[in-house]
Amino acid sequence: MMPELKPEAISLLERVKSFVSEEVLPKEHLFHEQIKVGSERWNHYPEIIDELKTKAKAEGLWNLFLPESEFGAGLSNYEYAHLAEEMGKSHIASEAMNCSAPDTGNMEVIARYGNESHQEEWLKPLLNGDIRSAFSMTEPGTASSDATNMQATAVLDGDEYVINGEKWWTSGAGDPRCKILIFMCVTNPDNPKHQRHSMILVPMETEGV
Amino acid sequence: MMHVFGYDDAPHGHAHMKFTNVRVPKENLLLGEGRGFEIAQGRLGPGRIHHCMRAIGAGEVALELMCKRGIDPNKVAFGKNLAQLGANFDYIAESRIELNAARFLTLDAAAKMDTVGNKVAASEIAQIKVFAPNVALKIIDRAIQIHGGEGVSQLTPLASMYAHMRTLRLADGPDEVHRRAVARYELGKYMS
Repeated sequence: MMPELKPEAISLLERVKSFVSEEVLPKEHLFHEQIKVGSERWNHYPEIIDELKTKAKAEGLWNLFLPESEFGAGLSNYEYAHLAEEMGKSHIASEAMNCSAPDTGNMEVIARYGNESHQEEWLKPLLNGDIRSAFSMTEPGTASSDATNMQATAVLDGDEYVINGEKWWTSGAGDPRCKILIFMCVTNPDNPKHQRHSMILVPMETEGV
Repeated sequence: MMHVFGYDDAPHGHAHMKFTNVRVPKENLLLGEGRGFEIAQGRLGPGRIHHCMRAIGAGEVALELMCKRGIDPNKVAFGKNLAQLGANFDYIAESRIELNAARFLTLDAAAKMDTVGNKVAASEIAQIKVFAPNVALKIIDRAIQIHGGEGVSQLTPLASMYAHMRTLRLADGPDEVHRRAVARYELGKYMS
């Protein structure tokens, strides 16, 4: 049997529903019209996104995905699932409410495992919707469906990791607002298969990216 | 930048990137060396629920478009509404049944995650990651068909929805990886 939704979740669901149908869907066409062509295509994003984000934030429809967290709405997965269905009705609704992939998963990871300075530098602006992020996992040279195959490496050299490798399908990395990558790579090649890889934060502006 | 069925998905985009002697402070390592998969397990559970529920939302949109087209008085062929022609009537019913099934399965997986955690709910999470995108894709495909040529054009959202949903059968692990997890779980019950 399906659990019943708490009254707060029901009211949030109703608000997300009307936000998507009254604010987002009628403006979806602007998103497409505002995408640029030529050399500006990848250093610009549609103005309608900021307009919708400002509205969503003012209405408290913001960062709804973070479960039991000091930063988010504190919804369970079950409760948030109902909201996600509504967001799925427009391809820009999730971003309007700062609930879009891959930022959601990345924010969870930085909230859980990042140190204070990571949270200050990356988590805060992500939660605020000022920057975006990407997740670099899949590689062109290997069968990435078996994630243990990934070959990119990070080697410790003094106080720094030196990263080498090639990734594709890093979704979201084209956006001019994308400032941080979570990068999956081999750090311990001699460990058992599932303990060879690590995740490292790589700022997009680092030399060599 | 890479293309998906010809879409570049600007401004988001899907990048093919090279990393050559990229230096970052050692503090940028998350959790600890060799613990990447541990993080990945935690990261992908909720993400799969989100993806699947958004897929169901997209399926709802496709079903709505299919029904509206089916009864559009301007689109009468061979003396009938499109909804009354061929298999369309059944497609509409099948789409509703499959969409509801996908929703129940996904909500059930979400409820299990909340009560017993990602690890115990792993088979359920894998099941929905196969089922929901496939259901949504099938419904989008039927909606395209009832729209005729318009369905694959830029005049409805269906073509880009199709491209996105087809990709979701590969993103966050292809169907086969999730089926493998489900099958291993089932066989595991009988292996000592």
